[in-house]
Amino acid sequence: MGTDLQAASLEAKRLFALADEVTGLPISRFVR
Amino acid sequence: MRSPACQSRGLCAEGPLERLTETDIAQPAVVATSLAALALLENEGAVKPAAMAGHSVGEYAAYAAAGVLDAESALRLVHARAQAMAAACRTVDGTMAAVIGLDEAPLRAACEAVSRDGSSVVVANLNAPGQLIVSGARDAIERLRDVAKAAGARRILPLNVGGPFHSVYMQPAASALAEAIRATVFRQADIPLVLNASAQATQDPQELRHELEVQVYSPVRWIESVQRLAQLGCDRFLEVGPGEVLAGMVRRTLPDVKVASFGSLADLASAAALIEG
Repeated sequence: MGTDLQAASLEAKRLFALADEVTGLPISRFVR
Repeated sequence: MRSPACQSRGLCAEGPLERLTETDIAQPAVVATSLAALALLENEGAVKPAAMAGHSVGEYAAYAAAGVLDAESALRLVHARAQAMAAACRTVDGTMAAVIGLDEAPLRAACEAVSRDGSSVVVANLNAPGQLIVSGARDAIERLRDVAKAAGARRILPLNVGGPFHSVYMQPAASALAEAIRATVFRQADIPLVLNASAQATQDPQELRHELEVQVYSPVRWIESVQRLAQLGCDRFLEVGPGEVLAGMVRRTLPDVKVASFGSLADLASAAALIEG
């Protein structure tokens, strides 16, 4: 889940990057 | 010594998969995906829901979507929730199970009959008619199996979850989460939000704040929540986020409404069609 969303929308990509930053966890990689 | 974050990075890069589905990672992943899906949907055109609800951790995404929390605050709180719940789960051998074919009242009675001091089970998620979830100590759920079947349950299916969510065993998590909630700004919701614990609609920041504290150990009253949304005038339901589970629950609860899911680009046409009516 999420990979296509990140590729299609800069805001979606920003939100995943924010999730990584806030949690200290690789959320954006997890949702590939 | 490596920090927990570093350990997680290693696990995510190298597996195992079981670690990646544990609650401390899964919860922020679900909310990030939901917020990303909403961002993409809004980019495609106006999304103006009459009301909203989020299921369990999904309430955090709903709060962000309704302007109660900004995205960063929502993700910070979800992270705090996930950490607190993971810690609470480590103190008990607990789990959850789906009970098929038994109504709330007899199931609640069965749960009470098998619960003892230090080993209890409760009705935790009222997801759809005939689809209830129990949560509690593993041995209490084992005791429930025969009692629930004798009361009329067709099947009891163990769920692959990290612990006894939405049960009394999560009260320590609520206490840990309360501090993070107190430090966060909650705004008036732009539209009514129907809350898990009460199935009531509100836009009030204090009620919304209280909900996040209690929902972690309270039942998710999803059937009543969906019915409340219908009472508020909702006749089209769009699930925004990963999967299609909630859409299925809505269909079972309200067979006559229109329902769609949006969690990936493949769903865009059906979501747009639903929004356009």
